[in-house]
Amino acid sequence: MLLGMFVCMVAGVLYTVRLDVEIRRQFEGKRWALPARVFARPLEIHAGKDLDTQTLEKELRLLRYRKTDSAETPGTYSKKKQQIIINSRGFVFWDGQEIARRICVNFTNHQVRNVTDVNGRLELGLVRLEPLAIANIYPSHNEDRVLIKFDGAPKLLIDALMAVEDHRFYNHHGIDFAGLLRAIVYNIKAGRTVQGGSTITQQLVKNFFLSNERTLKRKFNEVVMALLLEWHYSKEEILEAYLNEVYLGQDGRRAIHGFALASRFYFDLDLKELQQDQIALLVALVKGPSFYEPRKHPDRAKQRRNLVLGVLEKQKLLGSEAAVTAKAALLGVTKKAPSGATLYPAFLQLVRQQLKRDYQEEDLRSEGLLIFTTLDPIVQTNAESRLKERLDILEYQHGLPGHQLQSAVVITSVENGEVLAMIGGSDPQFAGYNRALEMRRPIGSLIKPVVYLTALENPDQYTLASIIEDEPYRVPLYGDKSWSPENYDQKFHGPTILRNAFIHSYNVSTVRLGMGLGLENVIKTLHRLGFSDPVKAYPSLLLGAVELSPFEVSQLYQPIAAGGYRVPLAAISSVSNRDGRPLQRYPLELEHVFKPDAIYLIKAAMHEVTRQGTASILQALLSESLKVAGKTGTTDGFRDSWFAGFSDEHLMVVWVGMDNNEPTGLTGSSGALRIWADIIRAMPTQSLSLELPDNIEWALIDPVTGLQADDNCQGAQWIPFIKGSVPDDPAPCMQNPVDRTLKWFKELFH
Amino acid sequence: MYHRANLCLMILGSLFFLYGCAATYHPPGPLPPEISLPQSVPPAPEQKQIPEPSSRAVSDLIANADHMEQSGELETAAASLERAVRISPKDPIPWQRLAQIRLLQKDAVQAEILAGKSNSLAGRSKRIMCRNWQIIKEARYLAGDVKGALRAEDKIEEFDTTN
Repeated sequence: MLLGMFVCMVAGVLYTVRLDVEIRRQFEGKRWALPARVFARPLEIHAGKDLDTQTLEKELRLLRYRKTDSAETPGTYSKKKQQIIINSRGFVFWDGQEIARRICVNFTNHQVRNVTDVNGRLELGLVRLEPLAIANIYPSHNEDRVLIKFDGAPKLLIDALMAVEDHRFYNHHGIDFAGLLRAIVYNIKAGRTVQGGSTITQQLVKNFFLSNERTLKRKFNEVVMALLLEWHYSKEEILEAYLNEVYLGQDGRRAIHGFALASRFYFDLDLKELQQDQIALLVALVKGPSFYEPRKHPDRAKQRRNLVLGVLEKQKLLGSEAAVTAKAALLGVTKKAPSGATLYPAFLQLVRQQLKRDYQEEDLRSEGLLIFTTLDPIVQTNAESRLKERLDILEYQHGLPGHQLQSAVVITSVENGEVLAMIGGSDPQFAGYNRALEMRRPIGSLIKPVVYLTALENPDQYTLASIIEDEPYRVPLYGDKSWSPENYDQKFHGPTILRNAFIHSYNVSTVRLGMGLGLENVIKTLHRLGFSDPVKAYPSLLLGAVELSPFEVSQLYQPIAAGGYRVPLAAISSVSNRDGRPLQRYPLELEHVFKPDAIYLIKAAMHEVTRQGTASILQALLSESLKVAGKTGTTDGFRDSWFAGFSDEHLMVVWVGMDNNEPTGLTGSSGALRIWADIIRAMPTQSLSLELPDNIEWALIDPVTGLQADDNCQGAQWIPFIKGSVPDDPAPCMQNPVDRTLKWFKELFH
Repeated sequence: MYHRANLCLMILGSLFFLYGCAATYHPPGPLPPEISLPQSVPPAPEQKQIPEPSSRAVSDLIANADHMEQSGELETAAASLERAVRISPKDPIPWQRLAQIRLLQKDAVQAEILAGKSNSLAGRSKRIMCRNWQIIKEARYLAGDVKGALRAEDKIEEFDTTN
């Protein structure tokens, strides 16, 4: 008998020790699998920034700021003509804290005039708003959660939880026998279940460690574990875990855990921004999130909420006046739950692709990483609207079947290669095939800057004034096969200078030039610009018979736009752990891949494309003050319409075509270029300024002969040269010095 | 009569002189005439500006980077300068300061490239370019490229004498 008792005791102790180990391991280790949170770039506000009131309001609305008369509470703003007052929420960035404060932004002529504190006394140099959360990467079991600290929870929430769920929380050790009895009595009196018998600690144990089965063993475990939890941890630690763990709703496959996420899920507000009645509703939901689901069962939810308010009033946690107001309030839940899915699926795909280089999939889903990206939601949403509008117009104008024309857009910043926006199809929110990243199409004439840059790097052999024959040309292939390229207009243009062959996108002369340069050299340039895949040395490469995604084209054009400095296009700026401590930064790292002089020449020629070449329609589409550079591309049978172009600040690549590769009848100029122009016109960007390197000089050239010209030569063009490569000889059209002197003397004597 | 013969001789002499000079023709003046200026023609070198002073926001970020550098937080300083680059990408000063930070971090390659980038945006500001060449010199010494460092030193002297 004694032995039996002893064995039982030992077994009980061992079992308890096992539970103890399990509890401590789980509670102290990784408490929750937290989804990774993905953020857009924070909006920086400073004097001189190109930003107008509408754009700032748009950003504030995205950040869920509410417009009020005087912006008295965090998360609100007010607007008065050319002034916006923001009561910011603040944010802890890894490189510094942005404090919550009331700031006043004054505008003038679509620019920020100044940023001051709200009294207007102190001018602030730079203010960063908190970044917009754009996506979550969920744990495999699809739990979602936003963590809060005990100190960060509203006092009323804690009070209400105690009052309703566990009145003697601070007085028991995990199990509250008195409370259990009281709950039974209270519920019998009320005629229904108002108070639960389980303590908050027990509820946490149930949620945290145990399944839903109703067995004696489970109940025993619950009691032991609750006691152990109380033994090891403080009341605050237990309550904090409860606040974050409690199950409060369901959004499809996504489970809503914790009060912070529930606050966003039901009210689209931060927990600390909730009113008393809203806090009461969340507490009401603890009892049965699906039974009291306020969107589906508003009456039940309201009744339960008011019951909670009644308890609060009775326990003097709420004044009776406040309780009356709160009971009368509408439920206040948003009509639709904020979607757990991202609004920017194409960009997020790029983020995940870049994260995969450094992180395991499981870490992304469970470690609660904070991922700070380069997405500019204003640029992105603006591009989406312009794209949709223009695609409709193009379909109508060109008699194309409705909703079949597809497109992809990539917008990056020129100097640091940050991806600001990405659209993967005509329906930007559709998280399917991402044409910007996954689709590879022939790039047509977008290859030409690569060919001409290869030539212009050798000023001894080629300048923009070199003559190239645009005459019938046969490229021998294998055996007795050959290839004869043709021009878009089916004509030959005779001897032409490189500049003109380039800006008018002549095919025949480009192939002649490329064959002269050597295909291997053109491929080398392609690789130096940033295209890393192997490329076969077929002559058709010279006309763009190489398939690239719009994203890869962006990488190709970035070093050209940035003066010969290549930077890998990046969607992520940094990653922090769940506490905000930096884990990894993606610093700005450049490679100097081309000399500034050759780049200057190709940029100048690409600018001419937009003035006098295949993209000259831009002169009519853009304001005179906005200078840009770019190149059109059209592939055989009008299957792909491309435009890649840049200002000083932004590089944008646009593709238009059909998924089934059917012809669209659109050229680069009549299709992609129109979208490009619509988008760039609607975003603030710095006009192209060509910084003149020391060894560049400009000369007037006769385009017929490629020789030096003067005013006497009709159609003479100013062309840049690398110093020492200006042609020495005068063109025949130029007045020779003898004639000019004679003319001078004649004028002298008459 | 004598006067007229003299004039003829002068004209012939002038023509001969001019014809001799005509082997290489130079267009009149360094700047294309105003009337035929296409939009792409850049400002003539004479008109090249010293870059505009950094804006208040950029200055604040640079000051913050200085502060971070002094407290040994070099990566935070770099992040502050990258913010400045984001705000004002054509301002050579943040690029230069970033080059200095990379130099302090013993990243010779990035230090030289970033200083070169700053140079490409420096217009005619000899002060900025001189400082960039100093960074390039130090980066080259750090990388063990003594010859390259000496070439950079020549550049610095060039700026010193022209200043």
